[in-house]
Amino acid sequence: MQSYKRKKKFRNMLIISILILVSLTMLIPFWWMITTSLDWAAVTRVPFPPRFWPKEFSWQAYRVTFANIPMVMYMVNTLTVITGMIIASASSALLAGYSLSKIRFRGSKLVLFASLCVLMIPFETTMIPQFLLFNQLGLTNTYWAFWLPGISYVMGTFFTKQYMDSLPDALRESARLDGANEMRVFWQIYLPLCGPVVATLVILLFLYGWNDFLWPLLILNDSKKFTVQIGVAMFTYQSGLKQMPAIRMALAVVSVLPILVLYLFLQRFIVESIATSGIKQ
Amino acid sequence: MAVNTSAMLKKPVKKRFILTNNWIGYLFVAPLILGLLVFHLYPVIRSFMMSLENTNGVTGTFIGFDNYRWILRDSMFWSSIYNTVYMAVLSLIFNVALSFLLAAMINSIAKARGVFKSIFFIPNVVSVIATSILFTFLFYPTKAGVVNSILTMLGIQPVEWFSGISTSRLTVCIMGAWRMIGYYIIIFMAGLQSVSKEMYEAADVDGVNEYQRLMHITIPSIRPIFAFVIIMDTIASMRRFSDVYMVGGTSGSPGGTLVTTVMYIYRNAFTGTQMGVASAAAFVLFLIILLLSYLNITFVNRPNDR
Repeated sequence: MQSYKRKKKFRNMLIISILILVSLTMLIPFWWMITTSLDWAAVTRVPFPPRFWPKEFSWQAYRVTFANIPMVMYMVNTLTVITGMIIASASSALLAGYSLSKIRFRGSKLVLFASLCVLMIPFETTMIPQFLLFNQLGLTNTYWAFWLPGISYVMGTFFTKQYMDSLPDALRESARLDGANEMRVFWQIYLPLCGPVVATLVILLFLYGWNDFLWPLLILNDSKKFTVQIGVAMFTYQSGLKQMPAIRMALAVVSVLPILVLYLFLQRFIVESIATSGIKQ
Repeated sequence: MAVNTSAMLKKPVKKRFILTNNWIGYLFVAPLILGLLVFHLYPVIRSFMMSLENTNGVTGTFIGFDNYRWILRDSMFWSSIYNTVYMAVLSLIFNVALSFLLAAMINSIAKARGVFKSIFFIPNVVSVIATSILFTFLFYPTKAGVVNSILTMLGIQPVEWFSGISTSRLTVCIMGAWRMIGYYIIIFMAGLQSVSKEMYEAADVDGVNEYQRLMHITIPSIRPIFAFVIIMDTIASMRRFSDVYMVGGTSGSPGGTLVTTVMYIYRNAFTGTQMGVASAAAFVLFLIILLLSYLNITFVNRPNDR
């Protein structure tokens, strides 16, 4: 028994050491990114031999980045895109989820089935006609191209329906029979109980909106309208991918920082959202 | 009797009328349905129509299945399929194997599970764009690169990584693994936590070893999760675009090894204005992903319910 326990303890230590080692490997890129961005000696070429501490510590790379690339504007743009998308997607998903779960109108099964089918259509197949549609409407280079498609948020609708299914029907029945209309039942009774699912939707949409690339690449070509990802990608593209490590890293740090900070504060919540959702767009 | 029944039903009928208030139900799903029709159903149909036309997106002429014949004879299309599948297989090996092993390890320790889960997930919130910029320097093709200098210390020749024809796809998959493993770890752990404790206890009594535990209890219990992760990862690989766009540009350099199917679609549609050809390729992609999604539904039995 004694040896069994000791063996188990040894095994535990071994596993924890492996995990720590792998975690460090996962984190090293971040460390290198930050130290290189603060290393003015790395401005023209990749430091050799590689170092993990700045040789010439300086904020200069950040100054150059902000002087040449309107990152603040890109961030405001991105937040504008995300805010509108969250409003459109979350309200559509919540209303539809409520209707499918609680009203169960004739044909609601069909709507669920159709939504499931639509989930199998990859965006890459529909992007060309969608682009042409927005082009015809004169809505390229506008954020309507992000807000309008937001109303069909199938995953969000499924989460909401699943969550609403766990809330009792009796609340609606008694409220309805007491004369409250459907909107009031939704707004005053069920929505206040939907905190967790709303938070999940907002988190998933925010992560998606901040990092989305292909659709903004098609829609936005006016640099005043660029989102963060497009701005960073275009600058990198025009000035050569493997040039100026310090400035590149400063740019990467700036583009990543908001979402990393958000993650550090909400990490338990985000991890939970991912686990319950299983699918992330 | 008839009068009696209708009298009995009177109140329930009214109640049912209020509660299955159809038109309000339709009103509430109207935005969703409108979105499905305008941004999904119509584009799929239009995509198929355009794949039968010689079109620049504005005007076109019907040419039947010529676009499909064209792409099937286009060596670039086949090499894009080859590149995509090559990277899909590699990333399956990396992502599924590593994330399962790490998830099993994290699950087997008593403390700090949440900490490890959170750490491994961090790269996933970083955009593909920032990741690509970072990794082009970490995997810099000369001795100055961080990874290459580690290899040099170990006495291994520097590797060209993103710049080498034989290594570019591998490097993209390594980069993808860094970003995605944490995500799959979370999914695997959700599955591992649902494996019944009694089975492990019974196994402990019977004195089975680690390997037997893994092969005979853990893996069979979470088979649906495996299927789910494998199919999700394959679908993600079929849709690969942003990382290869950042690393290799629209030419998929080096040597076109990074031209994926979506890149092929993008190039034809937006740099060549061959919308018909692009739509045909997009439709082929649709069929592939449809098949994968169908497999997902039949094999996986809705892992979300766990």
